[in-house]
Amino acid sequence: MPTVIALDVSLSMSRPVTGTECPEEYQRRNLAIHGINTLLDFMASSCRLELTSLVVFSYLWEQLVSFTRDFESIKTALNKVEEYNITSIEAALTGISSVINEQWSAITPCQAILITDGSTGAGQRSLQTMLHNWNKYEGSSSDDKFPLPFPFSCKLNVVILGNPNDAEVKSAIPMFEKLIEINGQGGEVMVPENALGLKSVQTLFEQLAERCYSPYQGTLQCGHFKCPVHLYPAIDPYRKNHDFETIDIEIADTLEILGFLDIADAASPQTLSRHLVFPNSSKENKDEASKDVKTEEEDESAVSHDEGKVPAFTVLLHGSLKVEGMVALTKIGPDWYGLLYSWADSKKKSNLMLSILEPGQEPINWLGPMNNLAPISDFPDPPYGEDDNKTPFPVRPLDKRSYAQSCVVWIKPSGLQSDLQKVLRHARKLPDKQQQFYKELNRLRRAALGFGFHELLEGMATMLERECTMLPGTAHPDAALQLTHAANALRSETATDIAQMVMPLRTNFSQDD
Amino acid sequence: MVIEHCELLLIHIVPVGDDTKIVDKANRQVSPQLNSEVYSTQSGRHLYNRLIQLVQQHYTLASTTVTGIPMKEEQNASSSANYDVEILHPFSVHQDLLKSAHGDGLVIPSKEGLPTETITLKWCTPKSNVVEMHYCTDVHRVTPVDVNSRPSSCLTNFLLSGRAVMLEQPKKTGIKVISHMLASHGGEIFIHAIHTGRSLLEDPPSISEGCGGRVTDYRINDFGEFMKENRLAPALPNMLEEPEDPPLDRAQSHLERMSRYWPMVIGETIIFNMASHIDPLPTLIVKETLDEDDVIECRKAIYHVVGMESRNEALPITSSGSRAKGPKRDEQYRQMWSELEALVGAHASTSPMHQRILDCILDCKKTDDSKPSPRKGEKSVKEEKMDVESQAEQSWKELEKYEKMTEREKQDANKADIAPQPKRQRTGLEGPFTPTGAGPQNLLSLWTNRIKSVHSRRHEEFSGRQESGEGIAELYKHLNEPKETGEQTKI
Repeated sequence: MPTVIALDVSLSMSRPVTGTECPEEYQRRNLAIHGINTLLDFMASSCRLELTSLVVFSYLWEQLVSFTRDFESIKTALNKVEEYNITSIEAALTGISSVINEQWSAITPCQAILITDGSTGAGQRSLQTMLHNWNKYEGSSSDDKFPLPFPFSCKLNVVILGNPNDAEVKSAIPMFEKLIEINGQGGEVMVPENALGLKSVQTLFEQLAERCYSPYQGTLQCGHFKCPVHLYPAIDPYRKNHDFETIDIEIADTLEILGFLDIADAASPQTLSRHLVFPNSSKENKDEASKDVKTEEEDESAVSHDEGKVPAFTVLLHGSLKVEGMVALTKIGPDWYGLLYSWADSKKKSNLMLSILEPGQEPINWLGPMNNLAPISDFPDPPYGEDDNKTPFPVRPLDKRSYAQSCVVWIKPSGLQSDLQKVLRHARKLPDKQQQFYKELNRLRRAALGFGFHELLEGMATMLERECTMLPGTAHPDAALQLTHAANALRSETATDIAQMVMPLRTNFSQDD
Repeated sequence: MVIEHCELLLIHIVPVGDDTKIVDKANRQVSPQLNSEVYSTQSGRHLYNRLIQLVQQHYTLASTTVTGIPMKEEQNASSSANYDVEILHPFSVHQDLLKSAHGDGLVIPSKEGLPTETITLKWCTPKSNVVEMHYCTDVHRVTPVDVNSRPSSCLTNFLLSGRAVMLEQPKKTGIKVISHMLASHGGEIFIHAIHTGRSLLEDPPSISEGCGGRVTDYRINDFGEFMKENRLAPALPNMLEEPEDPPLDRAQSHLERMSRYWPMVIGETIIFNMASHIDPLPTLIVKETLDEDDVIECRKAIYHVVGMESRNEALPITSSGSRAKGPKRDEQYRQMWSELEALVGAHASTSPMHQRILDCILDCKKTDDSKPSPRKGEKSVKEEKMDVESQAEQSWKELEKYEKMTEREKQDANKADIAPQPKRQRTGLEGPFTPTGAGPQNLLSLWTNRIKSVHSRRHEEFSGRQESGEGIAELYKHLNEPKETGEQTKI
């Protein structure tokens, strides 16, 4: 998930750190830079596809590095950071919000890491004042300037570089916690465990990295096929309050394929998020391998060359899904499903992709409940036909929609007019299409009775009589007979009885009804 | 359930033309549990407009106007004019759009004359039938505002006939962005909101760089067939009778059964490269139940392979370039047999019928093992081969005869196979022939055993043996009994 690192570069960050933990003279800012480097190293080794941006703030904010996968560029920019003036947390939050809003849509889950030293500013722009103002306007939407809660999906983590026993730090922690609570999307405040120093900061950032950036390691299983995989980006647990229940589930360790469907049948359903699936080597000692990188470069390339030669199930699956144009229905958690398919980016590089569906038994309407999907071998007649020429999907709902039926809609005058004109058009063509004429006539009659619009019947009868008089001399005699009969029927007593239909007049001319 | 809150809406309707004497009242709180508001309106069209507005508020709906729909005029078939159709759907479909919608001038008052706003999206002529999975963040049903007007019904009929329509944001600057899609599924029309923001997944690593990426001979086409056989379909009502056994679980076990022995790479398998020779064994062995015909088919396949081996036909192995007879081919056949045994062995526990097929393979395999290795000398090898060939010929003839037998005779012959072992031993044809099941068997013994079984079927049991039950009839039963009377029988 895209990350914004917001670094406090106010004057207070240039304060030197003293104490036994830190023999050399370091400024808090240097410690922060060291910590960020640790974090970037972790990300480079375990999730190198993550996009990160660097923002610095003091009284205002500035984006130094836009979202990139090039961790070195961030490190370089860090080394050139200058110092500014007073702290304003509001500026930081505004900066984060603006930077993310510009690039990403509201549903892309992001992370924000705010690194500061515990001094929360003074006066108007201080955090205390900010929170005080928020409390006053709590609930009302009038205070648009307050940057929280973020109008997009984003976790807020705050790292305070200060001694945990400092009074300043102690008073700052609850304020930051309140900020995280206002955002309401998770995150935490982190403080070094021991006194401030290089090592404690490093440990702190390593903890942060592990908590927030551990990639998902699991197994993809299909019957007896197994393959260790990791996903990019990692899947967050699903927590949502629905009308009658609260759903709180995490992704399982095994992603299990249950069956296959055609892409056309899956038909672009609603997905929560998409994730690329990459195979891991069967030796799961990725951490050790990365540590050995410094010592034996050649060895590693030989290892990866070997890994490339060991067949992996995901490659086979991807190739076949691409060739056949199919998707694999996968179970990723309790009552939680996803679809695996081959996806190609704009440059035609294709990969195996997992789309997560909404948790529940029926995430896709037109496939029906998931538990009701059976293997085709269970069916007496093959549901896909002998030559794959038909498909059992989509599952049709029980009632037909109104746009699929011809209903009588008289909201606008044009609706009524067109229905009447339809009857008259058929009337002019009598005795051809006699059935359509009577069908339309009856339909009109029933609708009029339904609305209590009895005057329409009289009007209709008059119109039919007029049509009769306007018939050309070459017209079939049956036409005149039918028209007169219909007009009379509409004026009769039985016309208002909805159970009765106006039937065609049986004449010598009418051969079949 | 306790009702915690109620919103009361009163609509006062007057005939068209009359004055509305009651004034509208905005939503206000009457008590902590009750809010109320009052609207008054003339009837007819005005009531309709007011209700549509209230419906959109109450159900949080939003409106989209699809513009630029090309339709042929009724009178003038050659020309086409562009029409607009307004549709309603849940508000969430517009979420991504709203960031820029006002700025781009997309939001306009409703063209249907409703007192609400709508967002215009342009119809995109659908391209050829390229089916792909779009990344849709939201999918909801839609309804046209004017259900049966000509443009609306044209659009709905177009969608219901199975074609999908892409909608694009008419941007002022250059690049068009396709933001939504209209499609019908099962007779209902849905709008799909397509994700248009920057993608996290830009520039992904290539598959060939990852694990398993350098292998070039995956059995992709075969896996395609595997996938097709494991497709899912909605269960028929009669399949849903057991709630403890949902069809999806059966799908899972079907997948498990079919994947028990499935080599991923062409180079790692022999038997799947000679599919035409061992058909239909791989297809039948994965079934849940086998009937007699299936077993016979499998046996035929096995005997066919035996025949191939005896004729020393080449196995379709790409790696070995040598066409030499001798140890290499032997080795290949041995590999093939062990692979076949692995395949059938993985399914042997499914049912006794499956076990029989495994037994058949084991029998045939033992036959091979007993063949002396060619190192002993060319002559003996040739003789052995002749012998084996004639035996193979005989077994082929037997097989043909077997097929021509009537159904009943087949059943009898098969029953004889599982008949109790001791019967075979009594036909007097023992001696140089190895009994069934003991030690390595060769084709000759197989053949002989079959003859024995045929004979034993025709042989009527001696009454003495019958009386004594199973096993050998014991003579001189009382010989070893302790002497009671003191009489000794001297022979």
